[in-house]
Amino acid sequence: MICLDKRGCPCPIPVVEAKKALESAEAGTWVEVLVDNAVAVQNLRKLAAHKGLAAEDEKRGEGEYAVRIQSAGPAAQTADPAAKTADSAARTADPAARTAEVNDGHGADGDGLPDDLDLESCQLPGGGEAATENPEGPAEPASSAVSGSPAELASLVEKGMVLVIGSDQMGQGDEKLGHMLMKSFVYAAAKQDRLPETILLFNGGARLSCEGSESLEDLREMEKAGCRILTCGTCLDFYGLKETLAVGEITNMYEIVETMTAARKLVRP
Amino acid sequence: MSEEKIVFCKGGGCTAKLGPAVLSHVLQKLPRPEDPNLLVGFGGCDDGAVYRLTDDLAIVQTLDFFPPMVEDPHLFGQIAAANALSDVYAMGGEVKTALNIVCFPETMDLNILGEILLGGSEKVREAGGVLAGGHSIADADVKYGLSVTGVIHPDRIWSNEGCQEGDVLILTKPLGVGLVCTADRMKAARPADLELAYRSMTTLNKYAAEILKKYRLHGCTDVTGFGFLAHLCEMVGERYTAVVEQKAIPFIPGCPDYVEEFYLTAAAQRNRNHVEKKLEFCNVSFAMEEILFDPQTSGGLLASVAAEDGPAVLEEIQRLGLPCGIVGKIQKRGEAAVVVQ
Repeated sequence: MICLDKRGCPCPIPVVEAKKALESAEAGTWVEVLVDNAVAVQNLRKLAAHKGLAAEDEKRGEGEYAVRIQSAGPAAQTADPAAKTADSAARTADPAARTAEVNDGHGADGDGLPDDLDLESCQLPGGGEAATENPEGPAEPASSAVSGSPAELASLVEKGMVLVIGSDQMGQGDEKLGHMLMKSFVYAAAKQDRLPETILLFNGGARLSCEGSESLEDLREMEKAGCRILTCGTCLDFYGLKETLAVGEITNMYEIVETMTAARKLVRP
Repeated sequence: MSEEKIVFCKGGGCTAKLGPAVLSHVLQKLPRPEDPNLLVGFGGCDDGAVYRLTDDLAIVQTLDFFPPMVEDPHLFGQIAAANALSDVYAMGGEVKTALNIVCFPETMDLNILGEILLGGSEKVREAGGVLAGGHSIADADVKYGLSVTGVIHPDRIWSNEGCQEGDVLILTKPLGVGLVCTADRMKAARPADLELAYRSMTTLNKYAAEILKKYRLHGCTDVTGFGFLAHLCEMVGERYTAVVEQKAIPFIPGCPDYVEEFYLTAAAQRNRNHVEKKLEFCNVSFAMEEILFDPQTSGGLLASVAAEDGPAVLEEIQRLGLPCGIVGKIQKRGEAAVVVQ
């Protein structure tokens, strides 16, 4: 018997995982799926009924149900295995390609979180949202999907160029002058023909991406053109700025280090 | 941090609704308000509340909000707003003001919230309404929607339940957006299906309502989380039987494949449980059944119009550019509330 503990997983995860297991199991093998609600049981029974497979279920306790479905084996999924295989291969070709693409994107960003993490280890109700509980958690995938940066704009961005800003002043000397210089540096950077792929802001640099910063508009302009703007979360916390972050995303030291070590060109003011 | 937290394990949009069975159980126990000016309340199954101010003016009030069902916050804002505004159109009203309803985690990037609100405000403006404020709560998960106020003439309210024998049923948007969003969460939705689902969900029902106003419309609702069949059961009540032609149902093309892969939500099963006993299926495929139970986010209008007007209405609605159809007719009451054939 194959056992799948899918408690804490919302539909359709239990039924999709069960379907996969049934399709790869030998004929006659029972697949047992544990779920935590009656509707999931019904969805699993629906799968069995639709595929003409034997099934049984039992309630084991509050929020614990077991559904057992007997596999008819990989070949028995259809009357004409060859045609069906071709058909289902055609159908899955696209998702497979998509998944690969997404994973590649993550790899490049040093994101330790596979996109389908929640499918494998589902969060229990109430215990989810790792990112909420741990804002310094694993790095985000590139925000291209979110900002939807158009391809023609992305061409402005030079792959591998990372702009690192660790202060809200440029150079050492007079403080007032340092602020002015930094402001015009960011302004000038935003007007360049080649924009950095990523801008890292930390320590005093974190102030630049927060409300009240005179560089906000320039940073937003660069973000719109496809730059990733990442501000150190520890620094935002330290300066009490977390609520006022006004552009880009929060990052952590792992991502800062990974971005810097993977950079082809580091630019500092 | 941006995208990850809008990636929803839990399934957003109208799939997040409480099941209809649970809800009616609770609502039954509430005292019924007695005010002659409350023309439509939750006594029936209507979409919003209508309160008469004068003989020729009533306000329509409605609100709706839910967790994200798409990953793009701007798109989510547009969909949530289009969905909330829809109830006013389903009653035949005109949108006047809207207030934002926001739940947002304190630690999340505020740019995401900005994008959501921007998307919402665009739709309110398109509706001809004014976004007049709102209320926000720090919460573990993102939720967004609107409270909407519209106006309507008290004699020209489109009831859910006004359909008449001989009417034809017109559905103004394709079914299946729930299935497509679920498939997308499993990384298996085709781009063309996603595009159509997004376009459908962000399309205001305003345009379809404007067309319907020109014809003899007897009953109207918008198809949302309870799915096409539950909404249709509400429309016919105990008085009539709706006969649905499965071939005429507009749906997003990839849906039968997504059903075969069992990208099915709990909400769809709850919808099935709720109305199954009132239905009769004749030679309907499993995939079509699931499409008919699929919870819709920002779904289309389901209108019951005089049969002679049907073709003209359909022709005009088709020009809005979304799959639509004359999906059935209203007949004398038989055994089932809805027959699908």
